[in-house]
Amino acid sequence: MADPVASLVKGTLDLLVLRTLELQPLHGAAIAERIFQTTRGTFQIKAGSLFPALHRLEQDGWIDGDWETLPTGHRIKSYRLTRAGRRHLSAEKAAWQRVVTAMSLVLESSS
Amino acid sequence: MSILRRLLARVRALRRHARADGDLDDELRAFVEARAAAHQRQGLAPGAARRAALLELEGVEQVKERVRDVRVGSALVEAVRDVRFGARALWRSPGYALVVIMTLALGIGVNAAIFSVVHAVLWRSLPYPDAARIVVVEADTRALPSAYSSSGAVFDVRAQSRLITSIAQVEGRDASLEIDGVMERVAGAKVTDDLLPLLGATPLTLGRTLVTAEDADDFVIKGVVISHELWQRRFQGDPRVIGRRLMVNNYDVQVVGVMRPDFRLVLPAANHAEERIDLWWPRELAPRLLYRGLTLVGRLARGTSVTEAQAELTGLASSFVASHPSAYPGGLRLTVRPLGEVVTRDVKPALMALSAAVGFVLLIACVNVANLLLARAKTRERELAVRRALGATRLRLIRQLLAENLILAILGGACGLLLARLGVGALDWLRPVHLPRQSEIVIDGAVMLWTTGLAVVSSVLFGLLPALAFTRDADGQPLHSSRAGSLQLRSRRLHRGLIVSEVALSIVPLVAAGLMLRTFINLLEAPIGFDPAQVVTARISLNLEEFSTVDRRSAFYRDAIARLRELAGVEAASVGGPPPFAPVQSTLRFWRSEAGEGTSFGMHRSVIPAYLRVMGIPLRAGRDISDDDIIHRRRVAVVDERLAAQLWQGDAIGKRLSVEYSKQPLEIVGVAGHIRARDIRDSGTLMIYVPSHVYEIEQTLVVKTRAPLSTIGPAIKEAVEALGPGRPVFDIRPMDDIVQASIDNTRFTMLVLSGFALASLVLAGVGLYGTLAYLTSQRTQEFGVRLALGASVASILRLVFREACLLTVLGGALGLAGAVAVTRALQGLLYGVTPLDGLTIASVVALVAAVAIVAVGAPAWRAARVDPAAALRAH
Repeated sequence: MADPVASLVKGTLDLLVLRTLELQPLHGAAIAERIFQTTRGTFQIKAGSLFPALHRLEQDGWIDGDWETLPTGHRIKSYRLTRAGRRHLSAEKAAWQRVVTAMSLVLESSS
Repeated sequence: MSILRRLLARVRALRRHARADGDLDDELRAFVEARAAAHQRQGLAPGAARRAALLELEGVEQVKERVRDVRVGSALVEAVRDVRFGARALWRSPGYALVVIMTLALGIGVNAAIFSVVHAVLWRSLPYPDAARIVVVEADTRALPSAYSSSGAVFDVRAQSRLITSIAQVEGRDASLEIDGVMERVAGAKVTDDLLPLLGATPLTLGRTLVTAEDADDFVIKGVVISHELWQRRFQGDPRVIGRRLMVNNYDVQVVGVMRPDFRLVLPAANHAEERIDLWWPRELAPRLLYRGLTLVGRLARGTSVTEAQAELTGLASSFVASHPSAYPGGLRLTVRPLGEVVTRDVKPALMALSAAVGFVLLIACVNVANLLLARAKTRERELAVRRALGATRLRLIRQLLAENLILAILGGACGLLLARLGVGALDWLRPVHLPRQSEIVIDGAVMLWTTGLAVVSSVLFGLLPALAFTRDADGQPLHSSRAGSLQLRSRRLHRGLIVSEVALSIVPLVAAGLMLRTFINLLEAPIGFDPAQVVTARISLNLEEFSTVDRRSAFYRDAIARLRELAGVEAASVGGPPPFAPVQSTLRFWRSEAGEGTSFGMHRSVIPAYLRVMGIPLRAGRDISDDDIIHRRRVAVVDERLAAQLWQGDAIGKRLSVEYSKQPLEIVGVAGHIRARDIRDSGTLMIYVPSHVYEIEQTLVVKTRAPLSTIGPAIKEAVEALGPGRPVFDIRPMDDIVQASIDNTRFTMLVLSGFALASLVLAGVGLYGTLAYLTSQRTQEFGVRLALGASVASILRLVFREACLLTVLGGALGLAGAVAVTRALQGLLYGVTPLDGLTIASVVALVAAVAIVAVGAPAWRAARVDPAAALRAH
């Protein structure tokens, strides 16, 4: 990723994915698109990052994947947030808020 | 909760693993299609949209690779990281690592060694096809337990049992074997026809198995089967060996078969047969109910349980008694037991005792290591706190500590395996006299698996408690040292608990070893009734063609003794057999002639004059057997004093005794002191000495001499063999040796158990010292304050000693309670001492107390010499 903003905060990807799935279950491409739209193009998640992240989150039990069969006969896997994932997300959100507040205090202090 | 959830997720992931790759393909295809559709919506042509989507993917394979890494990797990567981190931590303190590894090597090593013995001897099934169906039938009469069988019993069981399809008698004995003029002694077995097929030895490598009808003729052997090893050694594997003639015990016999390579005869200890038999010859079965003392081996019908066979034999036994009331005066009980069980019966208690002892050694080693770990964790407290603060979870810290311990345990286990190899090598040196299947004891895959398991279990055992204790505190973030106080308090409690358990654990093996030591001493000092000192025995096997009559044999014994008396250093010489403690001695029934029948059993010695004097058996009344008795073939006997007391209230001279094998009664001319006949522990067997013409048997020369074995041995052989051919002398041994050999098993158990007890004492002593020294050094500051405030040196010493004594006494009490519970299992191994032997327990307590005092002495001394000023500044 060439965009410096996108590589700025390591570990944010998990948070982004979990937050996106909090609203509704989505499949891989849809998750990337939703994040792209929501962040107004700041974060463009590539498959090489997205899928490892999805599988890691699934293994940790935060999200769970369900297979559906499309009318075309192809299968598609959509992910949804588990209950544990939901708890984890709220904890992470709070932690993130603290970081943001702290960072702003540092960056915006007048001295 | 969270651990469980993660675990479940992992398990689900694992289950998915198999079809995961296919799934990933589908997922990525869906992704590309969705992206292509999006590009198409933005106005690209279908082909271009798809290309753009693939471009975005940056290589399907790379993506898949990264996902796979996530999938299998996380657990593995973390484990590797833990191990690497652990190894680094250990590398930084090699001294600590070395001490731990050595301690564990000792603990695990003794366990691996004993396991390899137990595994080979007790657990592995016997080396016969369908071994579970092979049983031993034991015959007990009321008068004589474990009397084993007479030939007639075999005959009857074979004829009448339906559930025991084949049954055989076997008797191990050695034989002189002469091939092309070269003679050697080899291990032999005299077997009835059924034995070899029953043990699955057939078909043989060459030739056929033994058939009494063809290979024996009224007790004269005509055909033998030889071992594969003998075939290779003496006949260079010549396939034309069948039909070759050789001399066995001076009989001209022919080879009828060659056994399969590595065939082993595994029999109950009472049989004293070698496992590696070179020569098999036939034994005839006849419906006679005379001599007892042989092992009876049978094979159960397919699908028959031991219980069913037992029920049948119980019925048969009562019908035998009904039909031969005189042969079974005290009734008869036939017992069926699996061969494997009977074979190991004699060694099992000892092996179980040793297994328990090594368990204690390992526990003590673990406690020691736990103590070390606690002390070390104290110094790492800050490191752990810092890492916790930086975001390491408690689980992660525990895992890392456990990984560190696992490395130590595995290294300790590896060193332990080396130790076990040495230990198994030392088995030969310790020479347990009848450890069945000793040749099969090896460090094999099973032993390695067991050792690895032990290493893992012990790493958890010694590591978990300290790891839990030290990470608990890390929940708060004790970066500042004042919090260390509560930690210290908790670790002191743990240390104290460990000291108590260390003392307690070391007591049990010490008491067990003490009891075995007393048993061994008791056996050495037991009144065996004869004096083995300076007596040399030599077996002699007469050629029955040359010495065909009783008179010729008697004349030979006289000549031989005359020659032996002339040898330098010989004080007296005689002939008598079987020698005391001989492995196979038959028991015979006898009674007062007037009574007409009787239920007493005893053993016989076939002797010539002076046998009692040479053996140092005192004559209590009457006279010894004389030359005249033999020349005139008088039917006389000298009897055991106990026998005299039992049948005639002591006044036996001139009375008449009837014995099972002779129609004419024997006149009692003398009463001799009681001797222990079968082994040192046997004090109940009655003995009858008869002249050699009354009871004929392969004889043994006994020579009382001051000359050393190295000169007198060859001299005896030369003197007797110079008289002519057909009288080979062999197996020349001091009587002392034979007596010693009969307690070899006790000696073995005692030595090994003492070794383990010593190991646990040393471990406990070192642990005690280390822990007390550590605990005391932790209080240096406190002592400084006390001294500064005016406490005397004596009061400081008292303080330290009181703590140590309290802990030792508490541990000792727990240990004694444990010893009382555990040593009861030793009962069967003990002789002349009870499991609750006061002297042993008192000695052990004194020993442990002495070790504890030494262990606490140095730290106490150091504490008392604390310089208050230095101590106060130290922190």
